[in-house]
Amino acid sequence: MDTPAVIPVTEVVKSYLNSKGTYTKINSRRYLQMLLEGFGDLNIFTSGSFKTYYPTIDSTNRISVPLEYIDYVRIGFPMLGEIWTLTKNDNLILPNAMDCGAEVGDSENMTPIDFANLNWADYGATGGANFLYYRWDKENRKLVFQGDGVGRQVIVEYLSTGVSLSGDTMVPREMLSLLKTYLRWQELSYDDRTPMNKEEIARRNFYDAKNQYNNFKNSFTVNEFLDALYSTYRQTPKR
Amino acid sequence: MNKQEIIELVVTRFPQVHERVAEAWITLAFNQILYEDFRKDPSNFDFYSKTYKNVAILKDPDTDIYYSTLPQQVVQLPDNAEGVRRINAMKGLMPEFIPLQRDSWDVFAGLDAGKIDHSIGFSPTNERIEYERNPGISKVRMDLVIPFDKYDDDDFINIPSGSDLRIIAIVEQLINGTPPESKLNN
Repeated sequence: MDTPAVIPVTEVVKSYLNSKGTYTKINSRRYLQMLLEGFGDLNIFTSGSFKTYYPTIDSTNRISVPLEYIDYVRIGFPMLGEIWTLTKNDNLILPNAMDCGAEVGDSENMTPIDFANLNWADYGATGGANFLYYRWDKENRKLVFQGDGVGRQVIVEYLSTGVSLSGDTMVPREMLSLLKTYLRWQELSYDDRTPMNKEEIARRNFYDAKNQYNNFKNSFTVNEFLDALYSTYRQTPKR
Repeated sequence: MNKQEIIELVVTRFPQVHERVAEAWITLAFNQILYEDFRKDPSNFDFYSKTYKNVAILKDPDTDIYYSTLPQQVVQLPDNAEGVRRINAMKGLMPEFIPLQRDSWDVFAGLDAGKIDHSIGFSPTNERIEYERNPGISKVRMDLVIPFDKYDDDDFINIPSGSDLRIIAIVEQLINGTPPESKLNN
């Protein structure tokens, strides 16, 4: 059996200690915290990995998001086995109507959109029309919808730090070098005695590892390339 | 060499010094040597540690803090583990014990690392070792770096390599700097 494709984040700290040749554990939890922060940042800004959530829109035409939700990648509606993406509309009014201390939403947001009169088959019609629109209510950490959404299940793909407080946080094996170079860089940068050139080398090592990781993540196979190429071929005359 | 042989070696060299006084000087010299060696490589102290088995973990009823009484006085070393180089379960490696500064307990309690790390932090204090949370076991084994004068006479003592003559030199320095014995007759 080969080595696993994911490793616990605590093992990354141990691998780092081993690479340093320092086996004392006096700094291990400090390193772990630095690593978790770096791993979270990489998950948000670099890795492109996301979590999926299937909420049902409540009676106020809104959904609450999980505590670890940072930003959405895609919000959609399941249709024929694929995701029908919904449309962002930052002009939506964020409902704040209350009744007896309970949020009741905004009735205007719950009015079904008149699909038949959208004129999207018209020659002058523009794209971007949809049956359900959304806007992020950051203050209340809710997604607000406009249209016939109440009771519908939607799909929210969202970014999180990837750090699990309830179980083991697992790290993809391909991030091991990246995280170790990150830890090295951070350790040196928080030490006031570190010469500037040493810190700069550590920073470069991190960005080299990051490029290597990005190249791996964004790579595609020959077949995938050919599929993309063939998808542009058509039998109609070329103009 | 065992402890008694080291003392006799010093007494032979400096016959005017009593054995107990020599022991005290060697203890100081030994602490100095260990400190210097520790600065070079803090993770390689296995050879200079003494293992204590079956050290009980107790719960302080006043504070609810779990602790073990230090089985022996330890040498003070410049990191947060002090002379307590390692704590392990009696068998196996779990739970894992890591040295933490007592102040860091509060810091880590609010950070993700404190919530997801399953290892048990320990902090040596003057007389005992306090554990960050319940280790879930009743006894541990400890590797302690103890002062020279706390070894038994027939205990074999490892001197850091290349430091044998340095110990004698430090002892000589200390003895030569000692004020002469008072001859005053009261």
